[in-house]
Amino acid sequence: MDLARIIPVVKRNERFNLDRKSRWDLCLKMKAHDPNVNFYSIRPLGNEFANWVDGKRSVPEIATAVSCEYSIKIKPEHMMKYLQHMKDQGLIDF
Amino acid sequence: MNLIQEELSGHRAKQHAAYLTQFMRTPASSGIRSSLDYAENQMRSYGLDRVTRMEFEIESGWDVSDAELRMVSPTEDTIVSYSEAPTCIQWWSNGTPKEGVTAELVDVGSGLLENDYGRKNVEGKVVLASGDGHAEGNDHAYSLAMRFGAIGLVTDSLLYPQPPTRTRVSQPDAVQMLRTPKLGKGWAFSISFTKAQMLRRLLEQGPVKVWARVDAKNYRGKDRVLIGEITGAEKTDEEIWFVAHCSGTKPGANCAAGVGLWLEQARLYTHLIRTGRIARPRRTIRFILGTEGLGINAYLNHLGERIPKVPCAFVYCSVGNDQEKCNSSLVMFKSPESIPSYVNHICQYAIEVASKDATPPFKDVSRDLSLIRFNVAPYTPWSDNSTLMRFKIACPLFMSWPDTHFHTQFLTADKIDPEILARCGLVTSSVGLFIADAGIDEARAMLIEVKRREEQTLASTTSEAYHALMEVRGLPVTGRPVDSIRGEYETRIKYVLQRALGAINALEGLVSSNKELKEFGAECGQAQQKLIRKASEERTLLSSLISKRG
Repeated sequence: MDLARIIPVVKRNERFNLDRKSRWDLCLKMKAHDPNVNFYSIRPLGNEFANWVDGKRSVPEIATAVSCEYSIKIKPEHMMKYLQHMKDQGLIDF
Repeated sequence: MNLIQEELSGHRAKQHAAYLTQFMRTPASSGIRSSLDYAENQMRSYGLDRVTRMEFEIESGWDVSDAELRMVSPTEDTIVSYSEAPTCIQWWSNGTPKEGVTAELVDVGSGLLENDYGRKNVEGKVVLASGDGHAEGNDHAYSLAMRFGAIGLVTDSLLYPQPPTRTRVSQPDAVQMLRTPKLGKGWAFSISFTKAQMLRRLLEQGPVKVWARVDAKNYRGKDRVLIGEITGAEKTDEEIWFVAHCSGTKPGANCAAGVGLWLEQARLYTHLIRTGRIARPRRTIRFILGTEGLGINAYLNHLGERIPKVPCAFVYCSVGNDQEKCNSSLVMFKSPESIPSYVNHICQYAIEVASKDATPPFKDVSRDLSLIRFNVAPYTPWSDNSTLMRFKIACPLFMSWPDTHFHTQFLTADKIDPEILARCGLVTSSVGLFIADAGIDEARAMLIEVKRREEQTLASTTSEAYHALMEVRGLPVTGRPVDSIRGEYETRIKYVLQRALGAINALEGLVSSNKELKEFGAECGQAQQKLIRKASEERTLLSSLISKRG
């Protein structure tokens, strides 16, 4: 999948949090890429993943922006996992 | 800033906070109602232009009158009680029969795995779980305990450990405030590490029985938001918000401090305007107080399409922690950078200007040295800021972190320092008023500051890249490490530039007349061009450093 071609759009602007298991799964994947990541990283990073979604920016562009904001290395595919959960809840589309 | 420094009283803010610590301030409870009544009376006495309340229904009202957990065999001992440690009863616990319940206690280790329960029969019993130091872990342990038929959960989990000052061993008697999942069917107690270890030792030797009594109730109830307004002199459709939450545990001095400062700030502004020491600001200033999360969410939903233009909302949480007693620092968690704004830049400037406490040995007047810790960190969804950000409202959060006594029974009013409240208030009151009253002159001053800071950040980015290159000295000039460093820092330069351009665009929103807009728009355009050139120079410098590095 070419993530650079995926441009998410907001469908419903609602509060979203990953369930505990999904959060741990994502945390461990991201931690393997950047040891600074912990369980508590996922909420702020996730909030910003969602808040950057504007129907214009691609997945790698958003991952880069959040990565720069937090000085944490973020792979677009990791962010994509978060967005997929949001999509499953009907909050965004891509 | 000097006027605010003279007039804002950290002691008065602390008095408000100390008063609130007598209440358990759970959603739609008697405690939060008393706290809101107190805040409303204060607001009305200050003479704000408008003080209103908005009521709304919530599913998750919860109130507690008493709770106690005792060991009844093999020996008798009080494990924890609400009167001694109000943080002991987990929010949304259900009540027990009036006479209490007696049941066997079962040690389930962490209590986070199904296997912790599958190997032991916990049906009709109470489980003792150590948890994992996460609120979500506590939810999970509670849910598992209920699923396997336990009637209650007892845990000594301590949230947010921060070695060496905040660990289970270093804080053995701390009782952590926790919450069960809403509308669960049982109850849960938090206990100290000291008592938990004693129970674990006894359980190794044989059965242990406990008696629990919880006088608490879950209900559908009415919650309330308190709103105070200082009406703007010109731009009443634009508002600066100050948001705090009245909810919290008992004593919960951390959250209470936010309310204390919120009240003192309302008094301060009103007093300064009424006595003619400052002019009424151009924009409306609005104070919003409710249950954390629920209150601001209800208010925003109530406004619906009528949400005004809000250049900035300042969010308060634990803004008064005694830094020595709590091993703490004031922290401004920035407004999310996904929302283009200048407010982070201006707050950072104000923090630097305000952080003047002591003179160096070679000066008699200039207080160039800071004694109060005041850090800046990226956005974190800790309080009402997580709701405001979804509405694209720039929302820096002010709180103290870390906190040795976070949400334990030891976070009492004596852990609040008036000096810290005053420092935070000096920054937020000054910036809030400055933005509320901003016209072209103020916008111009902010433009200079945004540009200066972002130019500095661009230069720092190249400097950091140089240090990163030094780290890989001896490795081939080309190849992964160097390419990776080039890519990373070029990306950062691009990001900083975009952030800067966005902040400057947001500044243009402060100017309204066509003439001013044209004039200021041109200045903003020039500043943006300079930043674009600066970014280009830094990229060139970065390339040059890389080529020279070998």
